[in-house]
Amino acid sequence: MKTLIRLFYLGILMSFLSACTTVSIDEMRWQETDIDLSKDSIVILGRHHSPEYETEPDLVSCIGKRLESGMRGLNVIPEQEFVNMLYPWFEPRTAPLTMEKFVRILDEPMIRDELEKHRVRYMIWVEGATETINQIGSMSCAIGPGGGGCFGFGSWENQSEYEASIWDFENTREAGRISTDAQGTSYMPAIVIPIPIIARVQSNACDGMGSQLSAFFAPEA
Amino acid sequence: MMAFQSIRPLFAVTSITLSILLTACSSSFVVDADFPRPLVEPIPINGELVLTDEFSTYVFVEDTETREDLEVDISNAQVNLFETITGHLFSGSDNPQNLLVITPSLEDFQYAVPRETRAEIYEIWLKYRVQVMSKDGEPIADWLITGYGKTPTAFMKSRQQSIDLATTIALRDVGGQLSIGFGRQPDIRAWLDDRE
Repeated sequence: MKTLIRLFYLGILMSFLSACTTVSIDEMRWQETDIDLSKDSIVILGRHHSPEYETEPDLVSCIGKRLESGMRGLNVIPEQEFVNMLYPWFEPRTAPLTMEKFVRILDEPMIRDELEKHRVRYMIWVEGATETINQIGSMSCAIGPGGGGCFGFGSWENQSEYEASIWDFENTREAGRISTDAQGTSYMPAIVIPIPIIARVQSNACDGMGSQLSAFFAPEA
Repeated sequence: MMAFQSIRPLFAVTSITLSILLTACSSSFVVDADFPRPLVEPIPINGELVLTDEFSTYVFVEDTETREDLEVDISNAQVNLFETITGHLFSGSDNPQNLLVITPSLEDFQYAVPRETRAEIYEIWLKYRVQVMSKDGEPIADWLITGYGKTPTAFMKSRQQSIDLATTIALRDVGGQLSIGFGRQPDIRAWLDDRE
């Protein structure tokens, strides 16, 4: 029973352990934003065209949640719902990568009508990914009739690089760009039980990007 | 009898372990996907989709010695895709001669797994031949469409989930090319221009 209680406390302690992450954010603004919270909506889309990497859908959804719950409570259309609504114009092969191409597809009356029907005011393209850039250490685990355990030490470094480009649908112009870089090292020492001390790099990049975007849409004081 | 009874639990454990090990090396599953209606201006003619038995029952089988066994049943998904796209591609015509007969066939199914590409993604390529004929059986166009799909990441996903997702994305890619490109195909465009 005592062992179970100890394991329970150890579990709680482990859930609070997390390694540090450094986040840096840059913002460029080319025009003021103007959004009617009662009617207008925005959409956040990940870039999926590159063969080497893909912006993670969970990051896109995380930024959307931050904007919905942020200080202005923006109305965010979920990525998959938007892509299905405008199928096949926002698939990896067909999605407009530049504002010029976006303006060109707006010539299709059905696309323009659909965007107007859902009152899409801004479109935010998120490009980038989180990668493991460095890994060191080793760990070995063994199991036998009397029990099992692990011994060793591992560490890995994750890096997130994301850039959000904010497109103004009404004025067909790019309103601004926000870039977020995050870096952190996770550790996993193991003496019988592996204790993960994880750097929440992608999650912190999402928090940083979400807060900055929220501020971007805030009215000027 | 006693000896057999004492062996029975051991036999059961061994059988379960063996069956787990055997199924770990092979997988067989059905891709079940729905596709949204395409947002394109319908062409004012009649369209008829002809699906062969081979197309409607197609199952990809990988049984080469160098790769793990794999069976992917994409019959329902590809039927669903072509029915959805062609169902919204034409707005109809009063003239019965203004009819295009579309017969798709799957020419090739290829895939790559992370072990082969050294990237944390699964990839799928689908190559379709779309034959377009007039009502009288006159060939109008013979169009090859290659669809590509990849998983955002293979992390925390099973082989089955990843191939299923990548196949669905590849099918959506095929549907996109078919719906946007159909009226722009030079042979089909010329045939449509003759009817105007």
